[in-house]
Amino acid sequence: MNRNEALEKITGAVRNPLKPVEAWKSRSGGKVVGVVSCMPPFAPEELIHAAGLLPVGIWGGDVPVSLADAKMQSFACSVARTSLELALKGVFSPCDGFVFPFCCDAFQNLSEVWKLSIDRPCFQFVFPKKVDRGSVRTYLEKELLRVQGELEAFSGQAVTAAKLRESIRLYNEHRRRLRKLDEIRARDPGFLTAVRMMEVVLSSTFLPKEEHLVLLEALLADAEGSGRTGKGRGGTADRQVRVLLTGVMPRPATVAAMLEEVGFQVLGDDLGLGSLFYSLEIPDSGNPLRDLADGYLAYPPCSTLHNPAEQRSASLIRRVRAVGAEGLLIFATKFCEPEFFDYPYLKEDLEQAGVPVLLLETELGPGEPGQIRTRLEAFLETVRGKRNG
Amino acid sequence: MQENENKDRRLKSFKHMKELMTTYYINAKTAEQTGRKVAWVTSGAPVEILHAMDVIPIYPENHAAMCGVQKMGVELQQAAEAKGFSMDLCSYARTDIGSIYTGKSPVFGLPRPDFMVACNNICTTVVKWYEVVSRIYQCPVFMVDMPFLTSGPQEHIVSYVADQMRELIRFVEQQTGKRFEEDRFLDVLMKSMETTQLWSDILDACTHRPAPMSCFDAFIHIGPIVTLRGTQECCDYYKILKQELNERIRQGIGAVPDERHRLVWDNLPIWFNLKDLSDKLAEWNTVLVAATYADSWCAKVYAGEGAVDIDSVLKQLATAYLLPYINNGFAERVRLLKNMLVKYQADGFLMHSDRSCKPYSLGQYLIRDELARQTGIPGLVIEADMTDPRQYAEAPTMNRIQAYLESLAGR
Repeated sequence: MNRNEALEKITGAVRNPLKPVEAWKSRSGGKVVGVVSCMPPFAPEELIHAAGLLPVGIWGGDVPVSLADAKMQSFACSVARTSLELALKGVFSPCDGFVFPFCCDAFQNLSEVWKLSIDRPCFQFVFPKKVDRGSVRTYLEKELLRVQGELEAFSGQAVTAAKLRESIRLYNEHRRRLRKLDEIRARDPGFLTAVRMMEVVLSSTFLPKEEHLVLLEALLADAEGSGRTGKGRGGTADRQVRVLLTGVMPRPATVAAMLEEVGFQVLGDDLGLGSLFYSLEIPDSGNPLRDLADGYLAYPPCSTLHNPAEQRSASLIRRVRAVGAEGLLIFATKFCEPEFFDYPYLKEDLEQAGVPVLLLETELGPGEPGQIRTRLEAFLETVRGKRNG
Repeated sequence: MQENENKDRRLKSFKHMKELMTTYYINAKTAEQTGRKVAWVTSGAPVEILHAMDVIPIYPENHAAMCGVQKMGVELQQAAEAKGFSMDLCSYARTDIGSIYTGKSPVFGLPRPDFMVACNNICTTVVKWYEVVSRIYQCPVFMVDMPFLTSGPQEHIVSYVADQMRELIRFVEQQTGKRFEEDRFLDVLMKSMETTQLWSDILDACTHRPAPMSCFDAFIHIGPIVTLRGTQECCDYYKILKQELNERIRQGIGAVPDERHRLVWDNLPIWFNLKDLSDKLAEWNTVLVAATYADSWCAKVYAGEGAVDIDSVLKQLATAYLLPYINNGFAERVRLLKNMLVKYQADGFLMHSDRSCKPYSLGQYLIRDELARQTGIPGLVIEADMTDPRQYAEAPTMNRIQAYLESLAGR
């Protein structure tokens, strides 16, 4: 498979995620669970996989909200509202059940609304809010064990230590390759644009990991073949501005697509639906469930976990310097409390460190986002002006 | 005439509460001179641990509510918004952050915290909000992670929270330089339990017809139970209030004239509209007999069962703090509301869809429908905000409430 074929498959999966899901279903006879969240790192995917189930990411969509309007008020974010809308329309009918990894108050309540509105089993996984304290490890391990029991009953397959270990290895391998792509992108942003990278990550939540791994291999082989594995930037044109992305997800795609059009080069991100997701490395100590807990507890700072705001700023400043970015773009979905609470101090800290910051308040839905292009253009000019003097 | 009549219906205990709260604020303001530490706490924090170590808990949510009642909310919220905090964020958080920045407040500002304790048994918002305040004051925050109960307080959740209570105790020891004394803590717990029982009795007074007070009174008298439970003064105060309510029951005095409708209230009050809504409902001979919000401080912190070993005490404390209404799934919320409708013989319920409080509000329409299905009692959802009047259309809301009451009368 060459690069273009791999990218075609990736785009195909993003355009129509249910097609490969249905293909898997008829091939394997297994059950599919939709994972409803906006923060992929909190989904216990290895566990779902080890139970013989196919986890499929549900991240809302660019659709208008009508059926969900009365069930989820307008002050919930568009990711939660459009996810529910699609569910009520029956779009997720191939899903035999749903998993809810808690990431915020809106998604917590969404899981309760879902339970009352959608006639399929729902599994709630209450991820802890603080990961660096003694007592949390036992809790998370037991919470994972509880969810494991529910998933086993649902799939009819026991999650043995051997199976879980195998799933962990597969997921670790998959994440390592995504990180490899990231390294190439940091040196050569032309290799994968922001939209392409988002599609790579999104498609990995729709396709079986085994299949996605093959696509990643094809992309990496192409990079190797064309000598893009770290020989400079491939020429950053002067007018282009190098940026890092942060936030939950780089969506809607129309906004992500604007970045290169306007003149940005994206060197990397610490998005939830991005590198936070594949930064994990689950250890291999012999007790896979405990390893899973330990791996999850090693999450880098993000807005949905409790850590002093300085930690996230510091980690972003380090990343910005490591990849040589000139600015930071924050993708924040309207009504996202965790992101909007962090924003004022992220801005203050990064600007103090000499890194200009632009907040992009986005919403999923139909139509073109309003003034975002103008704001991006103005920001680009500011950063270029700063460069010159 | 109407005005005087309403005035007479006010609870006389209020002045005692005012004294109690004033003394408490003065103590907090002068804590530095008296060598005591001040801790900012969320409404669901285990203040018993703090009182047992002479720490003065301060309750910013209550401060934001006071700002709302005094109609200072918008000015303070705009100050926070000017600093980059989105208008879509919780209005309590914006109000208090704005108050810190401007120094403006109905009580001359809150005393500076030495440290903070945030518990997410009410929302995740407080976790982020306290991160911000911790940064402004450069003081540490201890977050007690209290997982949402999808199906009751399961063993691993209770153990996790009990473990964190121990971690919290160590944290407070470090912050105060004092040793935690079990005996003292148990005394505070017993006092807290006695006070919680009094608060429960006070709310239960509304099971009487006519109800001797309304939930508007409960909202106003909520301050002490939230911050001062576990202290003698708090306990003494609620004894006075309980006595006054008993006296009213004896004399047949109701909170509203000619009580006709009895409603249950869900969610936080609309603080800036409290008086207007209260007057209107009284005019319509309607009393709020119960509220899920006021009921949140009724969980017994310690049942006093079995041997007094600290492990089982901390587990009981953990369980009590996991149980607030909004830390539960919808099935449990429906069950609790249904019990309330029956216990207080309510003929309807008002649900405040509070733009600032996502965990309380999102999905409330389903709870209303499910409750109506199970009880045959219709409910009304009104869209508002606890302290941001910019999110509230008063006239149409009042019209809807009036129409709703008429429909109840026709049943």
